[in-house]
Amino acid sequence: MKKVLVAVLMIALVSSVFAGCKPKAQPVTLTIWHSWSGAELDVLNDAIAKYNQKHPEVTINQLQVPFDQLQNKYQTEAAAGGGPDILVGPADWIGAFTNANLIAPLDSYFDSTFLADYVQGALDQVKFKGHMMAFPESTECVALIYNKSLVPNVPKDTNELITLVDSLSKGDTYGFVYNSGFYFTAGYFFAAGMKLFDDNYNAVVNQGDGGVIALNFLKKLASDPHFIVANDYGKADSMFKEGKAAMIINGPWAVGDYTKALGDKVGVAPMPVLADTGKPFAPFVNTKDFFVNANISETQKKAAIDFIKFMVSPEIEQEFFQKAKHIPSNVKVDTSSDPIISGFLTQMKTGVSMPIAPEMGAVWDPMQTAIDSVLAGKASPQDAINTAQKTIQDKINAMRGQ
Amino acid sequence: MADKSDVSLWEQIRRHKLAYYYILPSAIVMALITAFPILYQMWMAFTNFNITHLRNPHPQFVGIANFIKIFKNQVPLENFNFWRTFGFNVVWTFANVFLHVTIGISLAVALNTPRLALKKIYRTLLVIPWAVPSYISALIWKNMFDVDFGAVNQILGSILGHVVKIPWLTNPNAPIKILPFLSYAFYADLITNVWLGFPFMMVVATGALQSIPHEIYEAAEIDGVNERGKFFKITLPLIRSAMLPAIMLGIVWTFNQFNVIYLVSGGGPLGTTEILVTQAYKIVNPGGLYGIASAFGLVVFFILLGITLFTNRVTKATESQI
Repeated sequence: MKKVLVAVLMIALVSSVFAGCKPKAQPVTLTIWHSWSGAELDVLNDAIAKYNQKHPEVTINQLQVPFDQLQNKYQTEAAAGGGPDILVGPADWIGAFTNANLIAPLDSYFDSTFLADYVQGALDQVKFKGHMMAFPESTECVALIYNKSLVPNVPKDTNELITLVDSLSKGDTYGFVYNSGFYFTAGYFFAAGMKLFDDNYNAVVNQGDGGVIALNFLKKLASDPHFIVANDYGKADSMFKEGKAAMIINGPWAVGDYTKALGDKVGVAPMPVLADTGKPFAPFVNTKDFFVNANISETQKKAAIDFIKFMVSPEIEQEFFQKAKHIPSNVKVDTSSDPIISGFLTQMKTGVSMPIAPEMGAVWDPMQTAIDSVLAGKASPQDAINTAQKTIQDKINAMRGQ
Repeated sequence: MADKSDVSLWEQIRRHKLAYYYILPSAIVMALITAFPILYQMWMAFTNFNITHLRNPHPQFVGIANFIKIFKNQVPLENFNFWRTFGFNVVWTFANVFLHVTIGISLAVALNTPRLALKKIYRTLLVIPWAVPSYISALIWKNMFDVDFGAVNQILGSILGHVVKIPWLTNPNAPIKILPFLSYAFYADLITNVWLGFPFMMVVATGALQSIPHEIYEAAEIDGVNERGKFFKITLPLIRSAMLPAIMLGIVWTFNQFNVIYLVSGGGPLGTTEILVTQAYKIVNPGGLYGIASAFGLVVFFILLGITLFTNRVTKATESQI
């Protein structure tokens, strides 16, 4: 009796192993991590639903991670052999991820006819050490976003800006809620003449007086009671939506939600020229990209690439452009009639391409500390820049194992 | 174990073999999930382990270089200062525990008044801060401390009748000049943590107060002792034995109070409110310096070990007096 039972169980066990082998489409599960929210998240969810109509065998799980934690989360999990199949993030992660062997090169999956439909500049930015390491979904940079009902005409240079803001602030409505995060305000550092790296990617932020000029300018804004100067994205965001801030600095990703809140009162223009040097605001220009995890099997990679191709198809790129105001990397999407997009495109002309080398990761926090310590009156601009230079170089050396 | 000191450990294991077989499965699990990570971290502390070694764990052995970097503040991370962080951590702990205990005992004594109306309602209300998950309270307080729109400044403004703009979480300077190392954010963290922490002490003190027989107070009254004398000569000595373990717990908890510091001030501005545990976290994320973080963890462990041994001694000493 016992033997029969064992035999039956063995047969059941063996046959269950072969149960998956049916000549049907294999069920696939893809996981995607991103930091999209609001209108962008709606577009993503619509796209997943549309993709599932064509490919019912694919289950797509999306996870929203706050942007400031996404890079570390992916880095830690992928380095330990886990992580999602697809990651959505900015191009400056490419260098560090490639060196740590966390993302897969994508050259073999896209042929030249497919790539011909995409903006060359965006494709150039995702190339690292001769390989295509990500696929660009959209291009972004920060610009001046203003409330047309509060701002009669856009100021040309920073002196005009200060005069205008002083006349706009009343009660708890502020003329400008200025985000002092380094990513947002970097445009004035470059307008003042600061450089991040030399040719060998060693830090040179303290060479010349660009950093000092920019920090002095920020200090001037912060001492003006009509400006709110704070490294607080959420605050600036909600104040602008409530009409309590006439102007803010932000990127295209946020405009979809602003038009939802304020309708056609939202305007976008280049930031005012820096009066101290007469040079235009030069923000970082970077792409938002799809990365593919290096840990996954070839079949998973193929499935991931298929979904990415769908996400950057004209159909979905059109959705991203219309609902979330992304600047598409697909040239077939016509954005010429959109004043908001053209505002960002004008700003982009004076921008600088964001470096994607791993050394870029060492820049953000030390530069932020320099800005914060100057605004708090804890350090002179010159000392703050010198400290930033030292910390950035120390981090770069630690990265290189020196 | 003094009665078995003449038997070797091995002999004991042999004698109670069956008992050890019973605990073997859980002992193996404990070894895997507790002992192994601890030993692994000790090894990491002496290497230059960083993010690239997660895939390929062959870092170089660097001896005690990580410890030297920590004590000399040469960690490649902005606003890193071990000695300031350590000093701040000690100040933070004692300021908090002192306020928790004094406020907790005062409220407990006030609510212990016989025949006080609505006593139950007061007690429930006062325990709420402890009942709400601390991270929720911390995030609410963080928003209330906003310089322009926070409830704290708005309420102060309506009391004082003019606009108040105290930069609770953004200004690294000290509001009280004789304490130059305590920034505004320290007071914001302190207010939050006192609000979170006093109910525990109050509950412990209430329990202890209920066990004091009423006859003692009556006897004191007959002897003509005033209220103050009753508090210092009867109440405090009699609740001391219950309060001391709670205070010791409070010290260890507060020393490692990650939630409040991380969520309210984030260790900022400019690292002025960083305590050891939040600093250790930052060395890993965003720093990515696993080797240094492990060394830092060991340093924190020895500091806590010292504090624990010291507090144990204090408790023992005070216990023997009672």
